Formats: sequence, structure tokens, C-alpha cells
Amino acid sequence: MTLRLGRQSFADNRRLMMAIVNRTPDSFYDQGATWAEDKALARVAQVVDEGAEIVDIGGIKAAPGEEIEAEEEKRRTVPFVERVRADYPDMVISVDTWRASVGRAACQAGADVLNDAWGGADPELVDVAAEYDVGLICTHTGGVTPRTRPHRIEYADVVGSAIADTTAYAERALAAGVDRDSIVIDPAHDFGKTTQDSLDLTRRLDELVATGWPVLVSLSNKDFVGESLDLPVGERLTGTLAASAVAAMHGARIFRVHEVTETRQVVDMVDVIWGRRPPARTIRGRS
Amino acid sequence: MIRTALVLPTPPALLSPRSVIDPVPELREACAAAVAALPEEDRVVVVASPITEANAARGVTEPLGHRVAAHLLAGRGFEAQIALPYAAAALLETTAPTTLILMADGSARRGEKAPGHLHPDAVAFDDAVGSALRSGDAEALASLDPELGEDLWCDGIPGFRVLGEVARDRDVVAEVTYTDAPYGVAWWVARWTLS
Repeated sequence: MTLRLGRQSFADNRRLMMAIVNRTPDSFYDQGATWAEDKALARVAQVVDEGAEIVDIGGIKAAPGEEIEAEEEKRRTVPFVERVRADYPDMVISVDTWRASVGRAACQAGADVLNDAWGGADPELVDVAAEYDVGLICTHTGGVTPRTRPHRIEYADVVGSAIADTTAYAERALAAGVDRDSIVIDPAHDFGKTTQDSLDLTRRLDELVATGWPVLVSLSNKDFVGESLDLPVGERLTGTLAASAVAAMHGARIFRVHEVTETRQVVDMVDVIWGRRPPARTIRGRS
Repeated sequence: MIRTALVLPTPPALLSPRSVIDPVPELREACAAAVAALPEEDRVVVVASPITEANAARGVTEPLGHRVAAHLLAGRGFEAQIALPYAAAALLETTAPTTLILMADGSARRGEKAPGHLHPDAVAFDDAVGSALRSGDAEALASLDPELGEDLWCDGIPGFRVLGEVARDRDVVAEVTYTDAPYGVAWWVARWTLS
């Protein structure tokens, strides 16, 4: 299915890199590396150069912490969206927010996608996506409150829950007027989940792909990778890439990442192995 | 007649599938030792908090506390009960020699890295529970505030209250063999001998 994310459309054989750009002082991976605007702009320039199709701009870290009101979230993200839009007129800009009011301001500033990492916590977000004709990422969190850690959350079948919740959210978005080609589902690894849950979702991602909705995966440097390999943040790239390879095999369309180049190579290699794309250049034994 | 009561915690980490590195080895050892020391001839009643509404909606059908107890008891039979307000009254009518196991934890909001983040009252609350467990203070457990427990993400209040009701007016010899919160949730292994 052709995927339309605001001003850009992507054929169904395209795999997209969504580069994370945090406008936060305290996100788990970068610890504020792009909190300053010039650093964040440099990060955008870098990921554009690396070939990312999407930048995902977020103003609040996922973990619990200081409460960030909507106005402060807007201050962190909306002017930056305007700036990136001015610098990169054709770039797909995503904003990582669960709040409709922030989503609205971001769309007015030129955003193409609303990445609702907290699974529809604000029911009006779908209306904003419909009004501005932008993409919407429908995630699965098991119904938890935004910015809470999982604590004794259990599922009889986490994959079944992820399919049921994300497709219901997608249908709700469709009913609200969001274009069918602009809706993406995301099982949201680690959000409202144990490591085992995230591993199950990775291993069975083909079941989400089989729903027909495009699937985004956000695996980058997460705790399920760290706990699987007993590695701290900063040493999880190899594990992230292994999980990305499995997700690519299963047919994930969008990869939300910290490391664009490495993930792109892994996904391209998987597609070459699977015969979904030709090798880049082959002369070995054929001269 | 309830002769022995154990308090055991309910982290799912005690269950399978286990990881290569056991994240809770001291707790597992303390639980195993407490269970191994139970009177062999007693009937065993395990009282666990009910399934949360959210987990029930996700298809979970058996309380976590009962699953953890079954794992720790390793094949020994037990009668599963839910920690509801009237549970203690029914237990007081028990005439057969009985061991009661309360599956109960403290607050999960003991610090910024705790599952429920930091609640300023969490550590003091847990200290009060721990003190009551060490001193055999049934009245203190019976009067724990369920609303405060909800704020503090304390799954154990129903079980502690049942223990407090059951042990009220009994002589208690209390022993706490484990008390810690390595992942931001307070856990105890405690044994009360009632006479």
C-alpha cells in the first residue's frame, strides 16, 4: 500500500528511516545532546545527509519525571518544526506527542505526521490528524497512562492485544477522517511491556504486518535489547540492529532510530537477501 | 486454627521464564527457605490480591500472587483465596492446623527509577509496614489505608490487612528474613508464629 505522510508519498517497497530528534534535556539515550537548538539542527542535517526520510521531533522524554505542560511542550517543539520546515521544505516531519493541542500547533507549523507514542491517550488527536491531513502513528501501550513505567502489566497474548488495540485505533482514525494511506500502526516495544513481551512482538511481527496496516517499529537502544544482552544504554546498537533485521524480514515499513546509516544498511541487506531489492552492484564471478 | 503465617512478595521475576542471570537471587533464596520451613502437616491457604481490572481486560485469569505461590511451593497443594474484606472472617473459623501465606508487596514508588516513580510518602509507608512485620503488630497492619496504598502503588495492602485481622488478639512471634527494595518495590519475607 502506498504510504502518504503529509507532503510525501512512498511506494510500498520503500522502507523508511525515521530519525529521532529529541528536544529534551533528559531523554534516555542522548541525555540532552540535542536540547540546544543548534545541536538539534545539526542532528537534522546529519540524518538528512544519512538518508533519513523522516525526522521525529519530541519534546518530552517517555520515562516519568518532571511534568511538562502542553505549553512548554509546544515551546520545545513547534518553533523547531517551523525552522526545520523552512530549511527542508520536502522533508517529512513527524512530531512525537500524545496531546491534540500540541499536535495542532505542530501541524500548523508544517508537521506531516503525528506520532502518538501513548496509544490514543488524548482522543482528540485523531481529529487533528484528519483536519490537517497528516499521517498518524497508532501505537499499543496496553492502555497505560502516558509516561508511566510498566509494573506488573500482563497479557494473555501480547501480540493479540497489540493487533486488537492498534487496529481499533487505526479504525477510529479512519472514522475520524484520517486518510487510509496515512495511518501506521506500531506495537510500541517496551511501552507497557516486559522484555519478554517486546521479544514476542519482535518474533511475531509478521502477524501485525498481516493486518495490512503499515507497521512502524521503534526498537532503538531500548531496554528489551539491553536486558536481552545485559548491556547498558550506549552498548545496544548491535542488538538493536539484530532486532531491526528481524523486523525487516517480517515486513516492517518504518524504523524509528537513533542510528540511521547502520539501520539502513541492515534493512537493505535483509531486503537484498529476501529478493525484495537487487544487490547494489554485482560483478563477483560474473566478469 | 492458623498457626503460622508467611508474608511473601509477588514480583513476576520469581516466575518463569527465567533469565540467564537471576535478577532476584537473594529474594528467591529467602522465599525458598521460608517455604521449606513450613509445617509439613498443615493445610496451606494462599491469599493473594485480586487481578487488576487492566490485567483482567488483557485476558489474565489467575492472580499473580497465586501463580508466584504455586511456583514457590513447587507442587505442594494449597487452597487459593482472594484478599477481600471478608476473607479474614472466614479464615478465623478455620479449625484444622493451617498455614496462611499472604502474597503482598510494599510500595512501587520508592524512587525516581521505581516503576511508579518517586512518591514522597513511599519509604515512610514501607518503613511502617516493615516495622509492623518485625514487631508482630497486627493492629498496624489491619489499619493500613487502602487509598494511600493505591496512591503508592502498593499491591499488598489487602493481604496485610487480612494478616492483621487474623492475628489480632493472638500472641505473635515475628521474624523477618528478607527486607529490601532493589528495583524500587518493597519486598519482605516474614514469618509469624501465632499462639
